[in-house]
Amino acid sequence: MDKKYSLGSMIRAGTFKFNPVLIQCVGLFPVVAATQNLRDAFFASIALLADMIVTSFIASLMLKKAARFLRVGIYLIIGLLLICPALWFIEFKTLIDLPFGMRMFLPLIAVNSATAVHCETFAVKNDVRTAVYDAIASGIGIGAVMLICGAVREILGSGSILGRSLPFKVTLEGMAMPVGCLVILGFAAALLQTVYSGEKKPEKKPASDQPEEIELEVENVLDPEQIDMDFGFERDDEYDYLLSSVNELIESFTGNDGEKEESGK
Amino acid sequence: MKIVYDMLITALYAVFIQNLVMCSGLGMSEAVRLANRPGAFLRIALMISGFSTVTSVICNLISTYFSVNGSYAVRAMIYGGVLAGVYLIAAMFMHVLSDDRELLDNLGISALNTLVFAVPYINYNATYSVWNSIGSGLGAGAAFVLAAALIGSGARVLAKNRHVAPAFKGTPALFLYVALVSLGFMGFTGRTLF
Repeated sequence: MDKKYSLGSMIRAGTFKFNPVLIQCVGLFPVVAATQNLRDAFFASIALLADMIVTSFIASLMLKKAARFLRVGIYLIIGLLLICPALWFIEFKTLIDLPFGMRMFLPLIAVNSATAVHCETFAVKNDVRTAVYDAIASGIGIGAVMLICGAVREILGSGSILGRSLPFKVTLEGMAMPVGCLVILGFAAALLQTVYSGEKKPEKKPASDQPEEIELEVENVLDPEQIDMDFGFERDDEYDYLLSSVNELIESFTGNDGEKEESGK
Repeated sequence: MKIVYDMLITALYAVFIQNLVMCSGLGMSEAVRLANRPGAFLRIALMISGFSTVTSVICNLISTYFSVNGSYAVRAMIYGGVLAGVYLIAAMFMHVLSDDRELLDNLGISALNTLVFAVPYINYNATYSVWNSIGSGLGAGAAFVLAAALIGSGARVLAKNRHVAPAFKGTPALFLYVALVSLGFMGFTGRTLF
């Protein structure tokens, strides 16, 4: 499938338009668990970006011919070999005092779904340069979401930024919980959807072909098919359920049940 | 009897009091993505329970009988190595027995996710016994089923709701719905927001 893409176009698509967290719903754990403040979010985003780049590089360079069930195990081992020594170095050789939670969360990034999905659907099917570009674009996309969540949660949750108190003291304890992060993700996804909804060219289908409510859903989603066009993802892939946008997933619920209810009436 | 009681209490804790998916975000991506495939997520939840339990017990025994220093980096290498080993053995075994590619993929998704990897850490931090570890491993799978079922049923309702603002249709509404479910589970922990 090797196709040539420029870094700029991949960053525009991978970081913004098809953001892995906000559109593809992968890599949710590091975003929800490791962004209670901006500093933690920074460490987690660096770890995730490094993990994605190194794993994609190795996957594209050496793992193309390996069986998939072996590859996904190797991704974990690569992640551990990258993150654990770095964590050990931070623990024992620097003065950085990582909070208790981060010492547990950082190694878990080695098994994050974003790395596995991007390696399986892109890195092993493209040349090394393109695979690394994709990893950089996706890693920046996830990292940006993490930094935004970390900053907002710290400001609203503890009334500080990077540990320094702000003049206006706001303390919403809920922001420190996963619910706070998920609310931020919801609004960020809505913003992204609004920004890119202008580019959408809705497919006009005859009203008689589809129930009305399905047509309404189709008009408001980012077109998942464009993922194929822009990235060369193969939709017949077994991992495709992790690739298609969640909008597509939600649409799938309307299908049979909606029709049954309509016919029942 | 006490053993069964310990296992049950730990499992119930992992499912309801602190649902590992909803209260910690562990395995949340997989739960969201599999929410519309009830057949698949039940099978994956069984596999998650199996992998969590086996990995937890092995890691618990290692922690009990071998001196692992306080470094989280060393602990992560050991736990991750155990998980990778358990997965590769299971995958090799399955590969020899069956040609079902989807089953092998499900095995990878079930074993290599944050939920399964985090369970040994949780057991260690809570100083769980082997029996507690088995309970938390089983609870991890049940927590996944509950989370995926709740997300699925919510997404079904959202899809039929014509009053959702266009900007919030799809992923944004789903995130906000998952936030509300998460808030509900946080209520079991006794934490207050005000």
